[in-house]
Amino acid sequence: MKKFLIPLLLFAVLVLFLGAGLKRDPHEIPSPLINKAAPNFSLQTLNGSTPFSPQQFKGKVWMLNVWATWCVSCRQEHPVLVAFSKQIGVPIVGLSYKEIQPQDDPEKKLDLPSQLKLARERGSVWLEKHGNPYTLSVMDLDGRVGIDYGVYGVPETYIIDKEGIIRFKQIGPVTPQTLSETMIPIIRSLENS
Amino acid sequence: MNRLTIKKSLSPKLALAKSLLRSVMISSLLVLSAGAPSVYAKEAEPMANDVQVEARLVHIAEELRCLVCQNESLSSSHADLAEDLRAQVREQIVSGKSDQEIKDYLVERYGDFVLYRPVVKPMTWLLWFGPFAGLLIALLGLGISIKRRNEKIQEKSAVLAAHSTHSTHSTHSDNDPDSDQQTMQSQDFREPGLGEPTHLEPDSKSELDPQPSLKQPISTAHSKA
Repeated sequence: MKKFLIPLLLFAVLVLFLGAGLKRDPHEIPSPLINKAAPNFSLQTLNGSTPFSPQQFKGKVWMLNVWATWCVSCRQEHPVLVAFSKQIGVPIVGLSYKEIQPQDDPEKKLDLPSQLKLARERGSVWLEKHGNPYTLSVMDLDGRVGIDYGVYGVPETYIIDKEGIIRFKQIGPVTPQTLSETMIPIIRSLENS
Repeated sequence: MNRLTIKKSLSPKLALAKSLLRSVMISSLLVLSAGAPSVYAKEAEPMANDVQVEARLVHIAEELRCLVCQNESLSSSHADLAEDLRAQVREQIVSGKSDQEIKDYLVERYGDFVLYRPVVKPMTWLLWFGPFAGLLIALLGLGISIKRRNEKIQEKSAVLAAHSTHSTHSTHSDNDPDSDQQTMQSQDFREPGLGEPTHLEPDSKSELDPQPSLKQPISTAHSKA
């Protein structure tokens, strides 16, 4: 009996590790930016004339949602955001991520202003069609701000607290469940702190 | 825009470099003219610079993981993000940043996950040293069990030797109070050498009436041991 105890124990440990590994999504990479200051930026908005910078929301809890019209998962996520925008109750900033894709402009003929114009047109049409949960949307044409925020897939959503510190990151579409069970409680507690 | 021109013109430049090399070799071999190589050399100057940047880019990017297709390195991935990140790395190389600075830049944003070679820090000690520790423990365990076994063999053979010379010591069975395991081991050890293991079990019975017939199998077992 004693003879089998050690291999059995080792096997149990192995099973535990493998079992835990099965339950984790390898595509969800924990962000090193959690509890760090949200990177600053200044970007043109979808329909305003003045650029937006996160500093304008200092003292407020807000959400940053990365989206694009070409993003398939966003279509799944978008109605949820629209439906919950009232319940969320804090400003939601949309980050229009690389709206102009390389295949849209294979010859690289478009200069920055015309890229911006095209992206704004597309974004507006899309939001009109699917609903607009955003307080405002900023245009990250080259994806630099996305890189600063560690974006590696669209959609991604960040919750940023009053001091401008990232407190939560959702990788992939938000679902009614994650919103009501995780994100909204976090937002409420951040608002009260 | 500048990045793109570098990238696009890279392969023609490589081809040019090859033909340049060939022509230089041929010209030096044939000692044709002194003018030709110097004409090429002027053009080669900026290209050499780009090649250096590209080489460093590949060197760095091979050590970095693509976030999108996680089993590919940043240098081999075709994902859009990988393209963007390569552009970032290239830009930083040109601006004179060190490899470490560039890696830190990416780790800051994407975490240690981007590094194919994990950093050695308390959290990764198990990862780095765990296998060696495991090996060490296994070797230690093996050593101890071998030593124990040898001791047991010697002990038993001493007892058996004592038996064969008819000297009566009854201490041997007290020496190992525990257990089935030890008896099992010693049986395992003896079985191949002996047809009848029961003869070897040093029990009180055999002591009480030492049979002359016992002598024979014992001595063979002894020699086998």
